[in-house]
Amino acid sequence: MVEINRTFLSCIAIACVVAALALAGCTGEQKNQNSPEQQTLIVGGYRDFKGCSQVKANVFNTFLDIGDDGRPQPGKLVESWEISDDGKEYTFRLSQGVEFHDGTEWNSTTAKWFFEWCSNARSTNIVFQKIDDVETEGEYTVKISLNEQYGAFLKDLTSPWRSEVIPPTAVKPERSKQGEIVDFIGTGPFKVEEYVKGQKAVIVRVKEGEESKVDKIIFKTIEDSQSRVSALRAGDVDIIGATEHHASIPYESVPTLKEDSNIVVKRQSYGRVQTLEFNCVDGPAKDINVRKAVNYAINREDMVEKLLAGVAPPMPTILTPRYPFANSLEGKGYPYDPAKSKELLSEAGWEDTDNDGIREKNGEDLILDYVVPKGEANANSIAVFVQSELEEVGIKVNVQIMERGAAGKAEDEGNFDLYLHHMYGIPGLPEGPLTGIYWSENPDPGDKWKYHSEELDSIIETALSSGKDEDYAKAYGLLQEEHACVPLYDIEKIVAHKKEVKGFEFSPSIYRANFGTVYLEK
Amino acid sequence: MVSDVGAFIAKRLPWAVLTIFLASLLSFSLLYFSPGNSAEMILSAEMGHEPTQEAVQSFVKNFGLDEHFISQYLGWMSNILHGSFGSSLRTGDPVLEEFMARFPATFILALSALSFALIIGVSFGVLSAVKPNSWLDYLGNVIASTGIAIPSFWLGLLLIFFFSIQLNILPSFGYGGLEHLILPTIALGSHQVARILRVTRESMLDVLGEDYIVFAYAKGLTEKVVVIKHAIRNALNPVVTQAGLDLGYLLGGTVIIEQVFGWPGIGSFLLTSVMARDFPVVSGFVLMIAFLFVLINLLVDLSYSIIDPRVKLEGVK
Repeated sequence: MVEINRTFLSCIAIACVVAALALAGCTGEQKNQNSPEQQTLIVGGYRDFKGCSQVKANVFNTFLDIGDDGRPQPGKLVESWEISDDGKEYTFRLSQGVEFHDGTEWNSTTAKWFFEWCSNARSTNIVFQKIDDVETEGEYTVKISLNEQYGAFLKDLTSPWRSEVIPPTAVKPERSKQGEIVDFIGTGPFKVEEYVKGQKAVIVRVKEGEESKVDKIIFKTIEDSQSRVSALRAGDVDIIGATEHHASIPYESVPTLKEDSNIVVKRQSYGRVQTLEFNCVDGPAKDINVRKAVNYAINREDMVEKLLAGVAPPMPTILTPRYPFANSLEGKGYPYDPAKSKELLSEAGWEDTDNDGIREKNGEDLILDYVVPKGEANANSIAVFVQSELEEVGIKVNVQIMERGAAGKAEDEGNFDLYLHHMYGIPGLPEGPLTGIYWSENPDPGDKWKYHSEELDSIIETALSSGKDEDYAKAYGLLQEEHACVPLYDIEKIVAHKKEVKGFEFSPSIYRANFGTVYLEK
Repeated sequence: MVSDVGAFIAKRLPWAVLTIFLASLLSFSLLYFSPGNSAEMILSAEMGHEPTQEAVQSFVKNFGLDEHFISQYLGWMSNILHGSFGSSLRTGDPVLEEFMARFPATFILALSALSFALIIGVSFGVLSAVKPNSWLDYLGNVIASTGIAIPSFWLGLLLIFFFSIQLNILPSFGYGGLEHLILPTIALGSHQVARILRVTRESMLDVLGEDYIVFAYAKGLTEKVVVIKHAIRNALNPVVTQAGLDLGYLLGGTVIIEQVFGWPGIGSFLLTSVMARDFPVVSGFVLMIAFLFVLINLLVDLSYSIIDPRVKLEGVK
């Protein structure tokens, strides 16, 4: 009995070890070893392939493309379009000679099926709820009628979540308008060869003969940002930071990466600003002088130098003035001027009468509640910096770092004076911040506490209907004058890759990454 | 023996079902009542900015998130009884598919870490007890103290720095061959090594002081025979208990190590789902983890009587 039990236990122990080792398999992949015949690029990213629009942009095309200015433009699938006078009929002229990866032809029949399928499968997207009818007019023309005017129609057709175009053969049952996607078939320069959920996707170039460019991309999911940096430094991946729509490489890692002679670091602004929204309805910040005082009290240059390794540019305007729709902000940046800040607070009636360093009015201390949703990049150190800057002018700041859900609730209920968030970037500009935050018609409960005025509403409505840059610029000019928020810094996207990776260019949209032009120097 | 085991399982079964049910109810209600709107959080994570209210309402309606708690919970339970765990609000894929895609990775890492801990922990635990106050005992103490004191994520980063970046001999992340398993196993198992080493040492010291060990020595048996044949077996029960608890804990997801080493297990996915209030995933995963925990506890209890025949299964006459 003793012998049997001992044998039994030994077997279990050995089985545990063997099972662990065997299950791990012997399919280990080596680091990138490119042959002259094949170029393989290993990309490290945060998301799983299915949820990563940047990598999928190499496999799928969206119905319309997006330009550097964030506006819809003709692309691989559509040559041109016309809009009826009432804005309810869109006639698209489709590109000819385009095929899906499985050989299915792109024409008006496949386009019609695609929109009808979207009306079922992607019915939660508002754009498809607006479609009333889709008609084919010849082999390469399709006419879409809307049930009501929808200004964002074309923009939505550039969105990877809404309009990644698939053929009727990618769903099961095939050609069904209710079918479920069972295969990754697109019209992009790469097609999917292998996909392992939560781990990796291997995509290969469709057209042969482009020897000078990468033939294969292995996209690996690495959720932790520091782990992605380590993987690049160890040479386990070739490029990081390209497949997220935010700055996914920690700023503090950038100097280390730059020091590495085998690594190249690139930066690109998408006009996305890290911002503190004021509660302009309830609390001290409803007074514009307090808002001005806060904006003048923060030394943004010092902040990015000390906390962000000088990587992110300081942003003294609500948007970067280099865009035509924000050129009214040129030369209007908030200066660092603590003396003026103090003066403004005194003008507003806030004085430090008891010499405790905090200003008071009507017996109440000047205290601002600063809500930080947990997980927001660099947010905690920035909060402490802002706290110390405002203390210098006599404002006490209570920093409240909250779990995201709790922070959202505090925002909805107006339990904040300053709320940290990141603004929209291209392609969400120029309309995103206006319709998504400052327009009174926006029904989001958290936004009713933000800056609103009849004058601003009227300018926003004019801009939305005209679509002209100067109208948008007017709206942003007013928001800057009214000190609607505290812009902090430009959240630039940072990409780091091995020195031998060449030809990488930033895409016009934060939601895309184009690896089609990349090659590896031999 | 077989009927004993059957009776034992029959007695434990209602408690097991109750435990699993309570775990599911707790996870579902905690997530439901905690602040935050699933639709807003999922849509804003996906799009990188706040979604429009129209989009939020459409999402809420589509997934039935506006229904009352009881109705949502009953609907979820009813689906489970019909074999469906629902679909993830974030990925749109079935929860069971999400779990099964990730569980093998967690299982392998947990098993590997536990095996590492058992081999190192039991070996040093026994040697420390047999040779108290020797250099082996001191070495065992150092291993136990450092294993407990060093946070696993920090050890993980150190291992990556030395073995992947400086020496460039092991991969810094990923899931694949044996070489991928080495660093996460050490980082994850170091804590368990320390615990198992301590438990083994204490237990062995107790056993070595027993009369039957003195008698075995008096019989003229060599130390090797006494320790291996008589002492270790009798000292194993607490070690098995500790190992069983550790395995249950490890299977529950080793979030930090999975994150540091880019290991595609259930832990990091579960954490992201909690943050996004993806309650079908969280509730489904908790249910399955609770099931595994109960199962492992049951197996540990059963193993006592196999390791030590003097132990009778509770509830069996």
